[in-house]
Amino acid sequence: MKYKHKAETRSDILTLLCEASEIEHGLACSYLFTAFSLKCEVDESLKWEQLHMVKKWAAQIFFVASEEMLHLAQVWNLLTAIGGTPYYARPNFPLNAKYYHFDIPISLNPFSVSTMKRFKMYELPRTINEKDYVKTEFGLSFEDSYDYKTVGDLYAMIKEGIKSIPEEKLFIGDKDIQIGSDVIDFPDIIKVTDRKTSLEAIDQIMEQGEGTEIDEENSHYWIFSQILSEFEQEIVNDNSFNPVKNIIENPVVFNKGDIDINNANILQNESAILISDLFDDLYVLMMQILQHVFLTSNKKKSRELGKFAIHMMPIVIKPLADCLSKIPAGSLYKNKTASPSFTINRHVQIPSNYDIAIILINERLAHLIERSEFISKKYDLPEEFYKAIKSLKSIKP
Amino acid sequence: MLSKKELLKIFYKLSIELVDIKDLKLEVSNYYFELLLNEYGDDFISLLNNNYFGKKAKSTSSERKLNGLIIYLWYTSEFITRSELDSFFDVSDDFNKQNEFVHSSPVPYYNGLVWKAIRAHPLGLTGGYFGYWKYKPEN
Amino acid sequence: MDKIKNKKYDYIIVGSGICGSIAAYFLAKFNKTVLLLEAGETRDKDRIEMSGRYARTSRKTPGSPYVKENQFADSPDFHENIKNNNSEKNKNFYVFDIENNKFKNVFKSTYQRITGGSTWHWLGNVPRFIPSDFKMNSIYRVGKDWPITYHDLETYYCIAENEIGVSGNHEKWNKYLGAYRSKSFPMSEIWECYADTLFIKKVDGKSINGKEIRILPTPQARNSENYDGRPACAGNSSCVPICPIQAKYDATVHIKKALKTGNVDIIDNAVVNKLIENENKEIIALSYLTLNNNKVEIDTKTAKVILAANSIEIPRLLLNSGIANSSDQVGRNLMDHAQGYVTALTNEKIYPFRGPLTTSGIDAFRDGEQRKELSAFRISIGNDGWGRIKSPNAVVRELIIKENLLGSKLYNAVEEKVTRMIRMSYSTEVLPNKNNRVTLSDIKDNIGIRKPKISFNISKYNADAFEVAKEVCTKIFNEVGVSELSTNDNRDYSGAGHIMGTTCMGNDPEKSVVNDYGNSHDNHNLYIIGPSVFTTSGTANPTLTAVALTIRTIDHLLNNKITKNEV
Repeated sequence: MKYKHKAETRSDILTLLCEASEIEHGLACSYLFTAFSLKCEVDESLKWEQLHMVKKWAAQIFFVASEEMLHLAQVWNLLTAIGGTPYYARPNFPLNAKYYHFDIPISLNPFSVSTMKRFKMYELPRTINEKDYVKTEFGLSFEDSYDYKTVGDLYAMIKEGIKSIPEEKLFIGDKDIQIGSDVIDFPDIIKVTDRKTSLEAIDQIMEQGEGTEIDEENSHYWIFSQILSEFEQEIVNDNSFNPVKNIIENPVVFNKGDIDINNANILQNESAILISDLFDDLYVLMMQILQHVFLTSNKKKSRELGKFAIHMMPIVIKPLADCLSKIPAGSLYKNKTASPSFTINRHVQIPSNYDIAIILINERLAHLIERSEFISKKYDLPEEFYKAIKSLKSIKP
Repeated sequence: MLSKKELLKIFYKLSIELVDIKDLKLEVSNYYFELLLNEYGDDFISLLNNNYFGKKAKSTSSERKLNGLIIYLWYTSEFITRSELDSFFDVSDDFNKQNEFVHSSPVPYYNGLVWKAIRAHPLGLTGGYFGYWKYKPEN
Repeated sequence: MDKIKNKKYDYIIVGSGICGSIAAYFLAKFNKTVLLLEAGETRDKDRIEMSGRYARTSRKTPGSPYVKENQFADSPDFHENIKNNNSEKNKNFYVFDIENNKFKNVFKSTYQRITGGSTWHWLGNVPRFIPSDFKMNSIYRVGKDWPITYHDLETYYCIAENEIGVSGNHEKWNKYLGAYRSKSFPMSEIWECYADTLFIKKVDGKSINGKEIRILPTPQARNSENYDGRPACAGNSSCVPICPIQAKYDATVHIKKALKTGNVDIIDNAVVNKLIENENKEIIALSYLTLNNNKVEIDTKTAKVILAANSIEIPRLLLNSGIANSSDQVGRNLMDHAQGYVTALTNEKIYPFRGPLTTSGIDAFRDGEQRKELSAFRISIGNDGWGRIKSPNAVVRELIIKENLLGSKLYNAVEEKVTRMIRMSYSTEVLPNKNNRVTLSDIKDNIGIRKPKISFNISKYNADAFEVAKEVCTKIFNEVGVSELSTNDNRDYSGAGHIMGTTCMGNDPEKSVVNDYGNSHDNHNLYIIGPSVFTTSGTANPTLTAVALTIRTIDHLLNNKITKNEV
């Protein structure tokens, strides 16, 4: 919506909500990647006391990522409430610099001082000027030409748009398809049926991100600030401290031309390529299933599907990411290991009709399991791979 | 006479054999070696020697006990001293009894095999992130 | 130190546990000056080191992280961790009066002396009492009635939940067992553990012994999101004895806040041993022992003295001082929750030892007509296998020495067994009884203060409840699908660490120690806060109620500034 500075129509709001979906989804992946990059065992550059600290950071970053997923789910409820459909597409990593209005694009980087500064920038309270922040922290300056500069600004625009359209005209979505905490593991998710609930939902997102005046010490911005200052302090205390796995940043399985290829690292090692590709397809399937759950009115059956998709995250997706971090990325990258690319491959939405959806899901799943078995047979892999696949087979949609 | 370096290697190999897990932490193995050597002296050396020279078939009851407590050590990081050895193997003993041994570092405890076996994590060291406990274990 | 000694304070608080520190915080927030005296040491910077101490030691008791060389003030927790403690005289922290005691355990609950108190190692379960808990005598003709009702406390429950940071499910708890809630919990519930999901699937909504079973998320002083600058729970699964990341509330939170006001001074390693009154029954001075057994006396003539030192140390201090006891009730009505358990192996694997040590409970039996005859009880579903009954280590040992297992056979056998271990515990209400009491022993502790002598017995009221609770747990387990059901001998009940009573509140100065605001009937400038003022013990973990009562007392002292500020 770069030509406009105000949301005035349903279509404007839908566009902004799609943009919000993309950003929340992109941030969630970026945060997950960084959390995955932290070491989880004592080694020569990580003492046991430091392990406690690093594990706390990882847990905190995972928590923020889960709140971004909640925000995405909340935006999906907002979308369906005003007649839209849930939207999970987003540009692949690493993004071209000017895709969003952030001066520094969302990308997949291991934990570092600059990564944490970047995370802080995405969650910047509106009381801090983004230009000044970028200049101070990154030594960069940009021209100001956009309609919003922070995620908080984007939601403020959506809020104004919602307020400007008569309530009965705007909220035409099927109220029965709104998703609550009975279907999805987000106790704080709000069902959106009118202006009041929609504004509550947006306020909650804004509070969790940038915080409010009274609650700022619990905001994402504050959490990242805390981690960064603890990290900087520990580097001073111990110059051998290194809490990060030796993984590559911005990994890519294939160059599909839609990314900032100059900043991408194409995986070379065959097993890493196959596992990374499998990771992406499983992850996309998870997103597709969740999208279906937010679209269908068959809540009883979709609840089981929702559970299945959410269960994939801890017991399949995360162990596969851990597995990748133990496999060499390829000779170009010396001793570095692989990492997940979170690439979204072209695919259709799963339809809202449950009977059709379940056929598509089962077929796709069977195919992915078949691929995982092929990989298992071909390579000797870290135990995380076998455990992830065993877990995948143990749950059913 | 085997050198200490060789004995350390044999202990590591013996440990792997006893618990049937390949990726035991070498640092922890070396630490346990010192503890056992200090407490069980010649008995421990003779266990390693016999193991090295393939005399396992003739293992004595005291060697079997030492093997048992090495396994227990790797699982739980609880170190059984010589004075506790008999009661440790007494089936009528109180199984929940805890001794007063305090390690110099928490690392042996964090590497206890029991956590892996029960698909949990060492109590006192996070299992990951908020809410993981609602789902099946990832490991 | 001299500066502090000569300074005039509005309030002197003895004990920096949860009640003492929250009292100090609110008083200081509204511009009162406070001196906080703590028997233990300030160690909040040692959190990771103490977590490491827990990991390093084989003896993983609630006190294990806190053991330190040259500990000054002894405590029951510290005591059971020190070596060479074998002389008959020093064997126990408590001296037991075991005559006529038919139960094996006498009194097992312990506490910690450290800045922040026993909240360092509490579990953090914070259900509220229910309305009938306050009216046991008028409804069920047993126990006593409190001088206040649930309604009198409800606003303070809300403030307490907000201060501590409680995660809970408002919809599920509002009006349950008659307990309305005027505000939501500040955080949504802590997610249930994997085992609970099985209980919910198999038992939720079924009727057992005439009650509808609801598997309810236990309200917990544990963050389900970042709260008050502390992180969300990350499932370190060592809530007892220590949370390495302070996602579980402990009272150091309010000590920090209190100190930040600039109106509070704290002295640690200060064991108050005597209160001194004048002929007008004013507390005019108190004395405390410091490191190297120096004795310091503080003038309290212009101050109010608040005792917040727990239900053993408060009567110990009052009896040692001969203060506030015209009723002869100081030390009497010692209460705890008498607990038992049923253990089993589930047919499906439930993967315990991941996440908080318990996340759900069954509260249906906390009220009802049966309370006339036998105690109500609260059931909690454990997420720590068989808890203290059999540890994973004990399973490993058993498989090694009884089954001679090693290698992968041992590994698989450990997994097969431990991942199915489940326990339900039931907590029963011990009624007030004048013969259950704390007195002073002639034996002195390591710093020369007379030790607490404990007489404690439980009655048929509890023993009969044990039988019913076991029956209920067994029926629930049978619905879930288990094998190897086992339970404890009734004589071998355990304590819950919920030490209550000993300076009970009431309207009659001849039958109680303090009034409903915790003000001593005898000494007008003496107040008591904490669970020692409880009239009865209910079945809920006592801390939240103790904090709500504390805030009510402080609000009273501040002319309702706290509640006015809330509005």
